[in-house]
Amino acid sequence: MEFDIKELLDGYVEEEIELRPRRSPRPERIEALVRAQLEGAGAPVSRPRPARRLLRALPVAALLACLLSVTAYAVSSLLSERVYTRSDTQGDVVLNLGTPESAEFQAAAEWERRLMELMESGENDGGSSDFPEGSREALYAQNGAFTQAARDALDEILDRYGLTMAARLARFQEPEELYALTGTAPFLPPLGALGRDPSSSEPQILRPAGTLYEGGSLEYACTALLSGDRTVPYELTLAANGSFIRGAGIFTRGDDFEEWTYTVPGGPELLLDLGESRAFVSARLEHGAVFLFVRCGTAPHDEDTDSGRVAAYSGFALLDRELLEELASSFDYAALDALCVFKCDPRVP
Amino acid sequence: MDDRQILSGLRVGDSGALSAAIERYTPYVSAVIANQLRRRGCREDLEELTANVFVALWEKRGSLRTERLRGWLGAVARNQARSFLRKNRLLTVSPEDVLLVSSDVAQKLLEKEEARRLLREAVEAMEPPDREIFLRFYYYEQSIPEIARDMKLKREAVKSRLRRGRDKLRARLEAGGFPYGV
Repeated sequence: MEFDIKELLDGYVEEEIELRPRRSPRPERIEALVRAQLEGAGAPVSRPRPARRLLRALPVAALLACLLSVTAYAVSSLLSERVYTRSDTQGDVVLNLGTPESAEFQAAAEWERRLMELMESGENDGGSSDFPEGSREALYAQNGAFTQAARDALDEILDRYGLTMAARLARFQEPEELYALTGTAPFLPPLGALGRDPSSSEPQILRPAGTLYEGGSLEYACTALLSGDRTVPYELTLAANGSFIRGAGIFTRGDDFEEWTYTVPGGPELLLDLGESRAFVSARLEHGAVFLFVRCGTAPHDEDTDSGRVAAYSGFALLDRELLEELASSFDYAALDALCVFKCDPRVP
Repeated sequence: MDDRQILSGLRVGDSGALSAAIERYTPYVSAVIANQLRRRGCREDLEELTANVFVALWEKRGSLRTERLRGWLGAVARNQARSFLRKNRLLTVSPEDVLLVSSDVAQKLLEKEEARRLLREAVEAMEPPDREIFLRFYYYEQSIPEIARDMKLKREAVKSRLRRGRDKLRARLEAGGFPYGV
């Protein structure tokens, strides 16, 4: 009887040996493939999911009308304009960039649909994936374009909408790092407690993490400490006018949203949407648009879901109108607007 | 993000944690797969199999019980590559990879998990350099010249230590009731 030593090592966990990669694919390339697979399966990955082939043939207005006619996934009126596509299991997907009529939103939605076509036809395969950091090719790769055909397609969309790709300037964790990078006074609410993993004895699970882009666009996931020591987890996306970043799609999970407008004294008019498991705040600024995705809602945390379990164990607050308005009021929108015209400080690496 | 933060993020469905894992471990995962494929797959196969590992990570995030992300990814990557080779009838077994046992212990060996356990114990009992050479050869499927290059050893030294590792493995398995030979 024979046994293969290599087969007997299946499942062996090796952790110490350093392997020297020969020619590794670029992580961005792998991430694009992973997301394509997961989104194709309807998995809840926070990236825009392109419309299906049949739906792509429909004009955008007809597509939106079609989506809105599905009452099980219906969202409130103005939020519905952000609906980008639909998931069979997670509800509508809203895009977190700009405002629905803006070039930033339209271009991002169009690019994601075009990108899926390119991937399906193989036109985004086969190009080099090994680009020097800071090169033009690396910038295209950051947005998912790996071949000349894909780069040309992205260029065509960006030219049509008058947008410029924004390079990633820096990643950061604590708000203070961001303020130091941009040379600004604090403009975010105080950082709240970090989440706790119910299956771990370690106290921290959710750490703040953000990316600053050339031109002032910004992505930041963290928590806000509000009155009564209540903690609310949120993701902020600031899209500067004229800049292109890919953004993310957010599942509405079939929530019913209560929607209203609210004006911060001396600030812009905000659109607030409050659902059972999530909430959104959005506003058009003079030099860009801000979008907040709040990772909790009005319903008790559903401990049958990963995020609900963490929310419950972490003590994240349940939202009501008052608390959502308090969160929305805790940002300095003038400072966020000023960041949208941020010029790269040469000290920024 | 360190591994603990990545794993915690994955468990709560944070796609940023998946991105961090991809960014950090793509070189390692693709190296594990490339070593298995050698010339039996094209670049697209390498990319697809590498992506599959991270898809598996995301899909199993709710049930991940490991705190050792690198080891988990490496094991999955190796299995993905070997499954790919098996499926495409490209998996070959050389004589020196084979453990032969007599029929009187065959019944015991049918419990493959027992053989795996003994083999792992034998590996763990090796001296560090011998263990590394053994694992580079049998687990990561590096060639002897590659092992010599990466460990800054002469090829003959790699061969002799590999032979010594096999001898120790043989002794261990025989002690556990598994005669070993080729």
